[in-house]
Amino acid sequence: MVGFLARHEWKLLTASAVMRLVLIVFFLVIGAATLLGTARAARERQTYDVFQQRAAQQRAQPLSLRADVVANEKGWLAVVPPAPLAALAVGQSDVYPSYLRITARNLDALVTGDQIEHPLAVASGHLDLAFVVLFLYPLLIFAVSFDLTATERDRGTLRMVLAQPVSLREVVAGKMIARVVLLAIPIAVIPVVIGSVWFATAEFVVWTVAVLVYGLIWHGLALIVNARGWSAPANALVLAGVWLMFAIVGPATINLLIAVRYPMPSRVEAAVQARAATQDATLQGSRQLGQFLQDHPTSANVGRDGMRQFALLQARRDQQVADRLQRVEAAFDAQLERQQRLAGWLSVLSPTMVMQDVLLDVAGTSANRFEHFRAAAEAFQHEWQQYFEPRVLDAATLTPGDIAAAPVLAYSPEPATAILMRTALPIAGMLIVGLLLLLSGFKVYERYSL
Amino acid sequence: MIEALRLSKHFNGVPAVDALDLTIKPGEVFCLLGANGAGKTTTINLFLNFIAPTSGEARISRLSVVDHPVETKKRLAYIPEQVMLYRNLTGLENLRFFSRLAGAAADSDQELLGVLAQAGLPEAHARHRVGTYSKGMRQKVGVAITIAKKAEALLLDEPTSGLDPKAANDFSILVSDLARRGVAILMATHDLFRAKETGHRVGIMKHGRLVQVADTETLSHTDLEQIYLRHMHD
Amino acid sequence: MSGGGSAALAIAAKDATETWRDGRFRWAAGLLFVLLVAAIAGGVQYQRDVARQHADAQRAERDAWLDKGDMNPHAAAHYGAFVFKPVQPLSAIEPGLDPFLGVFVFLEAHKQQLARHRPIEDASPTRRLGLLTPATAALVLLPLLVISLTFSTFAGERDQGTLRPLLALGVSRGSLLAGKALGALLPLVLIITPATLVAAVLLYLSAPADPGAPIGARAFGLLAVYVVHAMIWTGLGLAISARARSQATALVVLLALWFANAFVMPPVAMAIAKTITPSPSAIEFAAAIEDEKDTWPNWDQRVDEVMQRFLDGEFESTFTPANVEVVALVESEAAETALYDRHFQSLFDRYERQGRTYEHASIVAPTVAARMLSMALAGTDAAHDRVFAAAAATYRTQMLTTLNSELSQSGRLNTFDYVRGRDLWEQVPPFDYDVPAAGWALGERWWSIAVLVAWLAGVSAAAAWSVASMRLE
Repeated sequence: MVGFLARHEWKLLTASAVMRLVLIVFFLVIGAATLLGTARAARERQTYDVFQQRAAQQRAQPLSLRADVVANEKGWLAVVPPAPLAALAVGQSDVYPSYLRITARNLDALVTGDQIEHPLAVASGHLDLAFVVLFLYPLLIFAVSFDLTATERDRGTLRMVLAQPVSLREVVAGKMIARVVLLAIPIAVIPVVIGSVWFATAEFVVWTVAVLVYGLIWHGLALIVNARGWSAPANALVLAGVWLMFAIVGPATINLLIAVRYPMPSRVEAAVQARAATQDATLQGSRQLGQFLQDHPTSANVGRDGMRQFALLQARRDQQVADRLQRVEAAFDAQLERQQRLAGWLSVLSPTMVMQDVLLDVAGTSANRFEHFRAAAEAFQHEWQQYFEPRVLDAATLTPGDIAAAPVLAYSPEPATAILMRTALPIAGMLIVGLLLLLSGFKVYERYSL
Repeated sequence: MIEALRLSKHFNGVPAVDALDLTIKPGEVFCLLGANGAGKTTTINLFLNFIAPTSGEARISRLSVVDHPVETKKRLAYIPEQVMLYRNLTGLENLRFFSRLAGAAADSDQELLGVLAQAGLPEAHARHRVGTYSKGMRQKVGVAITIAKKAEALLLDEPTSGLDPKAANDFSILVSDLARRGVAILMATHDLFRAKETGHRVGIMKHGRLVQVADTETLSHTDLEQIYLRHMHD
Repeated sequence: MSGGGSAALAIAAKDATETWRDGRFRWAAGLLFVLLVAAIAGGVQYQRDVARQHADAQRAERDAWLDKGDMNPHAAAHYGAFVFKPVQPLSAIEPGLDPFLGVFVFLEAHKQQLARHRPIEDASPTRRLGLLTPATAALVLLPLLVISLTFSTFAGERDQGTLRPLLALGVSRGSLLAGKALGALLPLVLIITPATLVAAVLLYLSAPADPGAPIGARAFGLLAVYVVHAMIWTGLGLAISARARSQATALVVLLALWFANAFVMPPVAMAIAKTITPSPSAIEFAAAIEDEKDTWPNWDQRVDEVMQRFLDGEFESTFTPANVEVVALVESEAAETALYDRHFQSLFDRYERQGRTYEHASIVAPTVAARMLSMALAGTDAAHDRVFAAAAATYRTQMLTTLNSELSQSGRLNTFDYVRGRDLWEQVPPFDYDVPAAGWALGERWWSIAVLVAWLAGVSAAAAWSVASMRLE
């Protein structure tokens, strides 16, 4: 009977003009988001390929064989490979650097290559599928669910139905099933159709499961509100308020709490402190370097010992500056970590926040991915430095053999299993919440007044 | 058979239906008369199990509606005052839906159209959307549901209000027809004329109590009106 | 007309009273008011802190510059200077692009850098979900309240069947529209007015010591933009309510329009802008610069080249071989500066064009136009940032010219052991920056103003037409 009711409900829904409008909007937005994402991901992949080639070529035919040039100026260009589902979520990829220039000199090592974008672009956000899932999907769930039984009850159609040997629970279940399926299909299928490559990957399966589980939560909320028995417009307003609370005001308030509890140290003060801290080291070092250049006006006069001395001075200066900068950065990193820990705890209050973390992790554009890359880069930097330092201090000219034997960064991103392990818990949590909400909704419907 | 055994419903201590005892045999048409708020609709809601009784029992075909909700609804048909169907579906599609809900086997279009014709709705109308129907036409679909379901009992709430005389007469004929097939019929109405015409017995309800029951055969229209007004005055 | 006027007032009064008595409205309005006040207070507090930090840092920077001791002027040029973006008082209301732009710029001899340490880098991903600022509350949340007030004005009365009797009383459709509009705006005024007063008081109390930051006209402009925006949504709500099949339809359509305006159009407009005028990614940008540098002569070649010029008699008689490397250094750095300037200028040109396309796209989304104006009036948009960047660049040129002028002279001064002291540093004036006038800011955004005006006129006409051709049942 529930199946029959669900099919009947499906017919009614697809025949209603408003519903068609809602679905058309949904299709268009999902399509647009997926197309934009696919184009963006293709560009990223192309850039990655070009730069991998270019870097390989430069290593094969270096412009200079001087150890200090190879080690300190050219260094190693490490590029993050594009994430598997990068087309689905921009995530943090427009804020965290996706390439790092690794050199032997501590100072310039890991100079962050900022992503550059028009600030309006960053401020406007991106229309990616993650955004559609996080915000539009719940709103549309509410848009098709604010009148589950309200108008039918007010008009009397519901009484006609319940005069037949069906229970209200079966009727409501049929309506819910029709809506869940009606909205799940576009959001699960359209991305597959447009970007058919992902279907086979484990990440996309997890993505789809997460999306459906997320939807269950909002369907559950809609069910509870409907079960209270208000009129359809009243339901619509209440649901709009619920959406606003959980999706927008909630996260904003949580962020405010986090910023108040763990305010970030002033970047301005840090810059000034860093400057003061490095000034001594730089000044002293520069004086010594200046003296050195004074003593050795042209490189021709500089013997092996001279170059060694120069390199030593430079290295010492850089080390001292780096140490002091490190302390300043550490304060920021510590506070950021405290913020993120608190965010982790508070985010359970908003399904949207939990879901965002899950989606970005699965798509591969969360901070985790860039942290993983950075950690690998740091480890490689030590290798690189150790290999080249003696040669730099010797002012050596590298042989092809030296270059061939230089360390190579073979970066492989986190395996999918690690990501899946991390996201299994939040997804399971959301599933439990969704099921509880649905059960509560049916419970409240038992007291529905006709 | 429609039975009420000391059926009572109180809202906040105020009785809406007060110790109602009623038996309607198969083939009998019982008209429940009374002012607005007398308890007629509440009585019907109790038989439909839309609300739970405070005490007493409502039975359809000897089964308690509270204990056997599905079984009783299989045997029961209901035509409310506003026969609200699905506006965007045709009469035929509505009948198919409701009869399926009622557990009737999936009938072919021809069979369903036949039932609609029995209820007085020709095929041409049956294929139009219900949103275009008059009240009389919607009622005919309600009757068709009753027939398709092979219901043993029928509840009617103000069936002739808002119908023109011809439509009201058509409806009376249908009700009598159903009664002849053995359906027990409870009709709540203001329409004294139709009550005398169609009903076998009338009952006057006041403040939830059945204050008088009479056979229509022994009454004239004027008699009935006088009895009714007398009760309304007290 | 007076009869129609009093009918309109009667309708307005009845509607406003009904709304005010509606518990749902009071909840929603109360909540919005609380959010507004919280956002304003938070914004003012934050902005005051940051403004103070910036001012302190700028002073400390000046002291550090003057006290850095004796050194070679070229070394001083490399020592560089920090200049800090002044924080606008109205950024408490509309932070605009400030969280996404740099906090300060480091001016150095021959490298140019994008302003570093954008606050958004410190933000966790959830912060990107949206900052609740007073501007966001006014431009995104307030229209939701407007929608809740207007979606059922006509459609609700029609569903209930009271529309026809209302008009049967002899109320003209024009009066009906005026009354309904007024009845919807009155409750809004009840929220906007106290919130505005709170904002005005807080801003006044936290006014910076710097008198050169005129915010009166800008603040008034901000309020005007938010009010016009609210009026546009009121008209839209009324127009759709009059034509919709049912209350529910009106609500869904309005919510869809609201969502599109607030969340879909900005990224779509940006995507269009980037498609029309692509800009390079960070890695492409860096690679282009690096490729060009790779084609240059190396250090030894440069030195040889200058030595050759010296031998050819290009320099003055006081020039000695000891000066050759200094000249080579200065020239190579000048070439590098020109290189960076060229690339950055091309990048900023692209950004400029992207910004223009973005603004043009606002013709279909009044909320985007309102946002552009809001940022322009608060002084936190890209145009203001460009003015600041230009001022910083000018200051840098000025600084380098003062320092390097001595080095460009020939003579024994042209060696690395040549040092100068405070007397030269003082010749570089402190960084002084004046925020451009409100009129200029508005002039830059004439398109957005035109869009808002056109929309206001358009929805008013649409509302009038909808009501005139409205079904009564």
